[in-house]
Amino acid sequence: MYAASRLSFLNPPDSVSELFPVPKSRIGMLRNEPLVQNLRDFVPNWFVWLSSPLSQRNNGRIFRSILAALVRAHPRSDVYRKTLWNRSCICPRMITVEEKPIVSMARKNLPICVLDDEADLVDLTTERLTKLGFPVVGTTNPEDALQKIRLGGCRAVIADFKMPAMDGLALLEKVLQYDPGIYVILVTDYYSVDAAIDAIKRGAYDYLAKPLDFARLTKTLDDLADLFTQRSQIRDLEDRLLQNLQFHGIVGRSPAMFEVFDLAKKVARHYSNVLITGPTGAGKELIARALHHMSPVGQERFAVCNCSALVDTLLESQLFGHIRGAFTGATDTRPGLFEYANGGAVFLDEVGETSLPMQAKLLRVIQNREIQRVGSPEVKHVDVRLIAATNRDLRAEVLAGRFREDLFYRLSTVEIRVPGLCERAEDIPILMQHFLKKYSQAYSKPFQGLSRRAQIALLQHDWPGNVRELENVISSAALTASADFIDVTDFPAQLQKPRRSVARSEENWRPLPLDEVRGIHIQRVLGMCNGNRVRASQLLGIGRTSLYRFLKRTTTKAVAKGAA
Amino acid sequence: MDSDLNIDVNGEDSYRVEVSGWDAKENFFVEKTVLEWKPDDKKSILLRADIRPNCIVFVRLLQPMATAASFPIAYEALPSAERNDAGAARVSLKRLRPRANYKETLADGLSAARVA
Repeated sequence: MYAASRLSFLNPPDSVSELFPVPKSRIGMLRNEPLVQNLRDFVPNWFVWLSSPLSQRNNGRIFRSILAALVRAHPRSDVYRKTLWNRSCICPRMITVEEKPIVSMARKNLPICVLDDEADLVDLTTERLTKLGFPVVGTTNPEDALQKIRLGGCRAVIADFKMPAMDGLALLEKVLQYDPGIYVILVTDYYSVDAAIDAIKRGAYDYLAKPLDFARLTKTLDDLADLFTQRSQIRDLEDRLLQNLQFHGIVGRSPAMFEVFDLAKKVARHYSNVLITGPTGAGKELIARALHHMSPVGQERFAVCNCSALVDTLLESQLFGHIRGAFTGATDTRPGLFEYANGGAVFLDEVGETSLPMQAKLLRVIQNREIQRVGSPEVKHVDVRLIAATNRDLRAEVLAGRFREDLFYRLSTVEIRVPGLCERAEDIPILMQHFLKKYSQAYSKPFQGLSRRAQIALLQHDWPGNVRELENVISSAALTASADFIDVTDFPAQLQKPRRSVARSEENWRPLPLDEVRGIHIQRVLGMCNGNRVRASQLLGIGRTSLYRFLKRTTTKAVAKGAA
Repeated sequence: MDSDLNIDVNGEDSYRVEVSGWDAKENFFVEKTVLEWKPDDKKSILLRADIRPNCIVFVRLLQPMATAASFPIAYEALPSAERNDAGAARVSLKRLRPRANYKETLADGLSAARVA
């Protein structure tokens, strides 16, 4: 931050003001003197002048001690150390400091609002901070201050703790309500540690005593200015990172997602059938689109069909097309998705929801790449790549008799499993940023970011609806938020409360006997297999006879209970 | 069978959509349904999930022949009390507009005051 060019050794003009003259009598004490301390605080933004010629020897001593202090304070500035030392040899004069600040860009980017009921104090603070290079507005009216804050004119507020119209804590609350990204520094005549802790707990950035120690205030504000500069740099870096971490529009930096990306890259060139599995809302369609774009037929058509949204007959017509008069309402001949995407790819979403007769028809397409329009005897050959996706466990569906085993094997020659959001929690921050950017643009609301507590709330949520749910949360918050930062109060109600899932599972938990737990589990698996005991025993990993024995035992017990 | 095929899902005023949001018990739901867009600009869907009146739902168009993924649009949902045999209620949808930023609201107010 402190560039070499900020420090200059010049022969001063006659009119230069000497704010920190070094008296002759104190030359020997400079190393531990307040002057050195002051220089350390001020020099980065001040010109250093040489004036009042002294003897060559004494001047050299002052010079070296001050330079040593400067170099200690700014160890990075090797260049000016060298320059200074060189200059010290050719400019044998005493050091003074002129009050002529070089305004750093960081300070210019930190607009400040000064609020106090005493007009003199407002003027004094405003003047001092303006001289230091901060854009400052001062007021004695809290409502004026709030209006300026609402208009986005301030990034930091210096407010008196005790004011007749509104006390500092009330103001703090209102300011943070408008914009949690604003920093509030409270100042008071009656400083106490307890009050300071309380104010900071409520969200104040700092709590200072009156009369204001301007050196400390300047340091605090410089820290804030640096923080804002750093944040904007971080935002830029994150933007670039976000671009780098996008894989065909899919955002992820977790190992689980990198595995998915790697596998997708590997199979994209050669696949004919791919099965994408994963929970609902995890991004299966995005992976399917990425696969298609990376494939050699990426420029060809990509047709999507959601199998769960259509009844069988309609699905058949949608996929294979129909001829005129094939059914009531078929007024014209229409090609299906497979014909439409001939040469490209068809994405069958929720393939696990299709009926067994429909699965037989799909199997024919996969095996022979042949289709038949509804009502037509003509068989057509299609050259399509097939991507199927499901959120169901197709193996369990096969065992339960709801999904054809041959179709499963045909589809799952290559299987890509997309993890749920809870398995890739490290992606949540970058996804938040991605969606915030997306909806900032969509709603033309330039958000600065999410408040810290909003981020924590999102990180703590379980995300049963996965990335889709996260997107919906950010979208709804972006719709309703009216400040520059999205806060937790902009989220749907359930995200504003503490986590529920743990509490709920604990509430439901009862100390059941093992036999009962086993019984409940077996009944659930049997239900899933439509009562088929052979499939249920396979799923349970026990022998058929063991299952029969268990069921017989429970039936006998139930009968005995009924009789009693 | 024929009657099923008569469902004009891709007709002029019917669109297959995916609806997501939070139900009355604050659980996240996703449902596929058909959105009806009447000529009087009223949009409605049949929804099985039990939702609160005036809650936000996100509707994403499911286009079979689209090249790019569609965008979920936020609507305010106004469910009717009656449910059909399948347990679905007719839900009217009202497009939600982004709430204005304080800055814009105040700036508008100030400029209006200046004009006055």
